[in-house]
Formats: sequence, C-alpha cells, structure tokens
Amino acid sequence: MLDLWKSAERYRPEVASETTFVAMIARRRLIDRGRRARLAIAQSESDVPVPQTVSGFEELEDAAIAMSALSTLGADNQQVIRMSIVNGMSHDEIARATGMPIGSVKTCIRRGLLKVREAMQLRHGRERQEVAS
Amino acid sequence: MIERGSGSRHSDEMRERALDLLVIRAGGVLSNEERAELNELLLRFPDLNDDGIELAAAAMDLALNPVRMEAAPRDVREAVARRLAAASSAVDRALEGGGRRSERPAVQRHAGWNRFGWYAAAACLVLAAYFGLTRGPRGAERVDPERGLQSMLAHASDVKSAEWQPWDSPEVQGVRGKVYWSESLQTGYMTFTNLPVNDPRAQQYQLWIIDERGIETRISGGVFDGQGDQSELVVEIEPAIAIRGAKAFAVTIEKPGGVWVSDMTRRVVIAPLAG
Repeated sequence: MLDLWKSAERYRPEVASETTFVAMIARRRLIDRGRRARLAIAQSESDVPVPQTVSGFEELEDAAIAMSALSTLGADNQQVIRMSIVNGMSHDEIARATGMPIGSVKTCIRRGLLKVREAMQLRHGRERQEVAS
Repeated sequence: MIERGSGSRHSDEMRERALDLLVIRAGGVLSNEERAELNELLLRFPDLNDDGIELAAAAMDLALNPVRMEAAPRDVREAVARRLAAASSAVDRALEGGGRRSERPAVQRHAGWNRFGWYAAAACLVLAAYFGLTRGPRGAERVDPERGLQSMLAHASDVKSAEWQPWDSPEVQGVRGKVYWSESLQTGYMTFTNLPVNDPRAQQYQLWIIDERGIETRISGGVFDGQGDQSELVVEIEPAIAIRGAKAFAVTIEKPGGVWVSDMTRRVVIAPLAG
C-alpha cells in the first residue's frame, strides 16, 4: 500500500478511474521487480488486501473503455497487444513469435495504447465537465 | 499552407520519441539510458507526464487479463456481468459522441483514497467474473474457439500439445482429443470427440491445470459441456490464475458451475505435457 500512498498525488480523475490508477501502480511495481506476472499474481503475492465482498462495479469502466477501443482493432493487433501488455513480452520477442517486423509490432502497440488513452481521456474529461456544470 | 521550421520538426520528433519511450515503459522496463532520456523529454513535454499511457496499459491489462474468478457466488457474478455489459454499451455510446452521465449504469460510486487497495483487488475479481460470465452470452465478442486455436497455432511459437489419455478409473470411456497450451500467451484450447453430453443443471466438466506448483495447487481451467457426437468440440482454456510451467491437464466431472477445490474423484481424461 505504501507505493499507492506515495503515488496518490499523481492521481488525476480526468485521466482515469481510481481502479485503473491502482492497477497501474500494481503493474509498475511488478515490472520494477522484474516480474512479468499478471494481476492475479499481484493479488495473491502483494500486500494489497483481498476484498471479502464485490461491489463498486463502476470503477471498472476503464476496462470496458479499453475493451471497446481494442475491439476496433484486428485480431492480429489485439494478439500483439495482449503479448505486450498482459504477457510482458518485449517487442523483439513478439516480432519473433509472430513473424511481424519489429516496426509493425511497435506501431501496433503504440496505436492501441494511444487509442485507449484517448478514449479514457475523452470519457473522464466529459465526466469532469458534466460534474462542473 | 504554413511551412513549419526545422525547430518545430525537431520538437515533433522529440515528442514522438517521448511517446515511443512511454509505450515501451508501459509494456516493460526501460534501460537506464532510456529512463534518463524520457525524464528529460518529459520536462520538455509536461503534458505527456500524466501517466496516461501507463493507465491505458493498466486498463488493457484489466480488460485482457484472462484471470477467472470462480469463488464468487453465482448471483454476484451475474450482477457484475449485467452491469459491465451495461457499462460497455454506455462506453460505446460515449465513444460515438453521445455519452452522458445519465447513461451510466446505476451503481453506487465509492470515492476516497482509503479504498484503493480494495479497488485493486476488486478490479481483479470483478473483471474475472465479467470474463467468466459474459463471454458466452455476449457471443459476438467471444473469439470462436476453432478460430482461436488456429490463430494461436499460427502465431505462438511455444505451443505444446498432448493427447488425452484415460485417467485412473475414468467415469466415461472413449473420449479422444488433444490439449494445446501456450505458456507465453497463458491460454490454450482443448479438442474432444465422444465427450458425452451432460445435463448442465446437474453436472459439468471442469478442466484442471497442474503446473510447477504440483497437483496440490491444481488450478481450474474452466467449466464446459460435452456435445457427445463424433464431431470435434473445441474449448478454450481459461486459467483461474497465471500458470507457471504447465505439466498436465485433467478433466473431472463437477457440480454445475464447477468447484473451487475438487477431490478429483469423478475423473474423465488426463494429458501430461512433455518437456
């Protein structure tokens, strides 16, 4: 939890939900530790408490945004993004695994990330405007 | 048309480089040199220093991570599925330009930093539930297993496969097929012929994955139904948690919806993975 409190001041609600911010800190910590593990492992091995109940579903909207944005990409592009973001494979590893040129791998990942970022900013920016008005 | 000067082009190139480095950081680790370069570039382009790319990666991770949650009560999972389906529709509309707060699902918003740890874990659990429940009903979003298998075989270089074998005192006989697994993708597929039709209200088949942690820590790979005839059934493997060095796959018969811990007494088939 310490990482979270240290990073709290960076949180900006107009960019992402709190859940996504937490997920980002968790990912960053895993990466920093050199683990290419996923959130399931983070859940079992970190000091993040496991909830006893499940609610607050709205916080998962960023994942829904990401899914929506990703669904506009082709299956091959989604596969490349999954290899990078979920499986933690390097661009070189993905290029070897898929046979794609490394430049195409980089472009694909970048395009996907920017697309999701743009969609999240669009959504959260609107929310802030609506709350302000 | 206004011609842009070399200074502007140089600035654009630097900005592009900063974005490239942010993308690399979102997917993995920067070298010390790259990190220093990025820090310097972010001073020049402070608008990029909002964690936006990493947040997008985290949202993608939540969306794509094939974590499954099977311990949650069925009614909770169904409620989550309904609400996330509604959220997804609202997001679609928002991205088309018509999003309004009133279109969002009617759920309580929890605010406050003291909930952060809770949110992180809840996110894992709820997304898992979402995937587990909505992939079936929302068939349009689900990759057809046969196509998924072909795609995996075409793109993944580490796919291992093994034939199903009769398990000790199997409850059903004559089941054939194979299991395909990619450790790097953390996914795989099973094929079956002659897997008897089951009444899903009474019992279902459940896959178990045994990895380097041993059979005591067997991991659920998902629940599915048989189709019984000679045509091949393809089923996607859906690991409940990350698999570390898959050793074997085994199918049991369990109660509808599967179980969190199986006594593995109602055995069907097993497939030890070589190497």
